[in-house]
Amino acid sequence: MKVLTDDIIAVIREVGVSADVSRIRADTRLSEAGIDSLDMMNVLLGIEQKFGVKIPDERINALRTVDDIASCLQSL
Amino acid sequence: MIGIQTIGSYLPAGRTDNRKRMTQFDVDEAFLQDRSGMLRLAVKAQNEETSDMCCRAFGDLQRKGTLRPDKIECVVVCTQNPDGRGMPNTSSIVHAKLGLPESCAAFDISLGCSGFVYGLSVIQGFMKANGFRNGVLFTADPYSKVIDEQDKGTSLLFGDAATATLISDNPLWRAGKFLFGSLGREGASIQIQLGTGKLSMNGRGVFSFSATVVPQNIAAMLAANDLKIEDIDCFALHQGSRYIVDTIRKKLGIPENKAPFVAADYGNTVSSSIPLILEQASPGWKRIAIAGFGVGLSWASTVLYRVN
Repeated sequence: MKVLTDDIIAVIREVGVSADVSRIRADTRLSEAGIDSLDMMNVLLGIEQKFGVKIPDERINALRTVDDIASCLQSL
Repeated sequence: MIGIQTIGSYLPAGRTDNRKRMTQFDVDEAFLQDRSGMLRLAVKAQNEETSDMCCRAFGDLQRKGTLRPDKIECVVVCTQNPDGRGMPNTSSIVHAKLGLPESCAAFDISLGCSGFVYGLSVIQGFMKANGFRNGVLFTADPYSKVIDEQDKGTSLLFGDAATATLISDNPLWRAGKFLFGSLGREGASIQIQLGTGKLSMNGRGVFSFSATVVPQNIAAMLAANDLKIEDIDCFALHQGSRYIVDTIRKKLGIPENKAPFVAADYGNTVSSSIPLILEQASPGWKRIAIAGFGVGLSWASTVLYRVN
């Protein structure tokens, strides 16, 4: 799980969000870290490309933290 | 040689100020300024028809040159928001309002944000095939006809505009190789809802498409024209939003000053967004890459070379 959350944070850094990624931990609320809805679309696209998955639209609203994203990925 | 000679445009005087809607949609000015990019949206008058907008763009075209209506051999209107319900075709209504000759062909093209690039290829091919010397490509897709004012995903983005591009055998710009594409299975990402008649858009789906397929298409188009990023003076990208333009620009490694975002004062004007950039082309630009993408989903790109 730790590897997965580190990989997700790496994706957040790579896609070039406007937030300070160094402040983001596994349980940080991404919106509170400054990742808005547009950056979130970019992050999810990066994750889909990195992990070769498709995250369904209906699951997006529940993805508030890196941990949430990791759990989602493990369930796909 | 057939190509672009002159571009005329029409931006309605009416504006919707998105800064007055920030509370309604829970956004701040930084979001409007730096993310969506759309501070104000051009909006046509209630009784102003799509054909009227085309005619006003044509009037601007006439003011810029010595265009004689009796010399025009074809008019093509790119729109998905035609006069009435699209019958008769809006191009025929424009033909009548402008008093064009009976020998002038008139037909519509149904495409959205990729429409100018497709339309340019279509009208050039049509003119070459028939030996025509003067034609006009119109873009006019007033989304104000179909916007759901309560929908945050679309009502903060789209503006109304029209353009009229004179295509002639005395061009200022000639097009290189075009590259097209379609993703019909994702078509529902941008559509008119049957029940409400209003526009709906899957923002995430459209973003993913724009951030993946479009940069690939532009890179492949440049390769097909034996060009590199640094050979291009300006990338006239469809102005979907500032975020979309910036995302595509970053993925291709294009310097910020070469892929302008210019729609802050009028919004995403669909198929008019690219000709509105071209109309303001700097005299020093020799090569412009144009890329349209959206409804369909569809995309198209080419390079315009200044003719000496």
